[in-house]
Amino acid sequence: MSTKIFVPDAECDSCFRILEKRLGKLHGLDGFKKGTNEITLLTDDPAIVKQAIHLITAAGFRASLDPFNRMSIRHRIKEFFSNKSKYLLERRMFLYTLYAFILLTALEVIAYPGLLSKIPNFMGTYGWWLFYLNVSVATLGAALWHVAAHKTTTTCMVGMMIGMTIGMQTGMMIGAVIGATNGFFIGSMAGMFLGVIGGVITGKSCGLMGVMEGMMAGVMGGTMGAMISVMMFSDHLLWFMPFYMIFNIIILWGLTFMLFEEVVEEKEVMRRAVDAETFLALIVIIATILGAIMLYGPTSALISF
Amino acid sequence: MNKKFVISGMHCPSCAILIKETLDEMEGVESCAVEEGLATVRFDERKISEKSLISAIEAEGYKVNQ
Repeated sequence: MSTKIFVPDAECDSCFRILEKRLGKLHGLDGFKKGTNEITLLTDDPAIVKQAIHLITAAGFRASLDPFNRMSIRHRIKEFFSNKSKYLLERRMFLYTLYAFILLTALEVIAYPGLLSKIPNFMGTYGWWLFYLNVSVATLGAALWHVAAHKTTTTCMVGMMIGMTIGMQTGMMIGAVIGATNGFFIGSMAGMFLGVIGGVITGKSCGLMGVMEGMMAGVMGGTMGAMISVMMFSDHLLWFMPFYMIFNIIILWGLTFMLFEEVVEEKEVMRRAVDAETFLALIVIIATILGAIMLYGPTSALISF
Repeated sequence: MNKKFVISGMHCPSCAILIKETLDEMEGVESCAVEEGLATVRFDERKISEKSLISAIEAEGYKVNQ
């Protein structure tokens, strides 16, 4: 005499109160029990169950009689390559990362003869770090572009995860790069400010919790990123950086797939992204400011090239 | 009459939906918009009092800061 409905997006008391109010209006339903990401209706009448699923879905939650099985990473990657239309936004994100990296590198090559070559020992001192700055700005910018394209609210857990990942990775990557050329103070400040901004922008999809999580991650990532560079400066930092960057990029791309699974899959979500021109213009502005800080900003006495 | 209520205890989009639905169902409430920590309600004072609105929000487990 009971039917279990899987509601994976119902996470907190407020979610269940909304469902209680909606289902309370359903005639013929004797009652229901709430569980973790599921509710059990005290009826097995198919018509009432169907109406209940409709009411839950109308409230913005996924609902089904069958559990929502998560796709394995292998299956997801396979589908990413075979189903182009489904992952259009994600494909654009990877393309935009590449475009942004190429554009930033091209602008630096153009600026080299007249401007950058005048800086003493430019290639030896800043060559690798400008490369890592381009990698960081391009991947972070595209990941942020992708998150911002989802015009929807998220559950607390998902929103906090998004805010934390973007805040932390922004702080870690930018903090480490600027920290390596300018020292702990400037590196921490640059990483922390950008991390906090990125964390707040993306974390607000779930409200205050996501904003707080994003801010905390930005503060932590920014200071930690700069600290890593300063502490490893005399211990194979340049050998460490490729691995550091690769892991950070994998985390950012992992967020993209998590976002798809938690926010987009089996839901009707509006996805509207900023156009390529605006995205690339913003990337150039941010990279120019960070590049100027790197090349002309104050440098700590701890950093000596 | 238009009135803004500062609400504490809200932490997610579901809280905002819950408060909005509660207020929308009340007789005398003409419109309402709820965002993080703030509800803006337009209501007919002849049909419903400000106190009733506050009680309804607090009955859902939130605190209205007056």
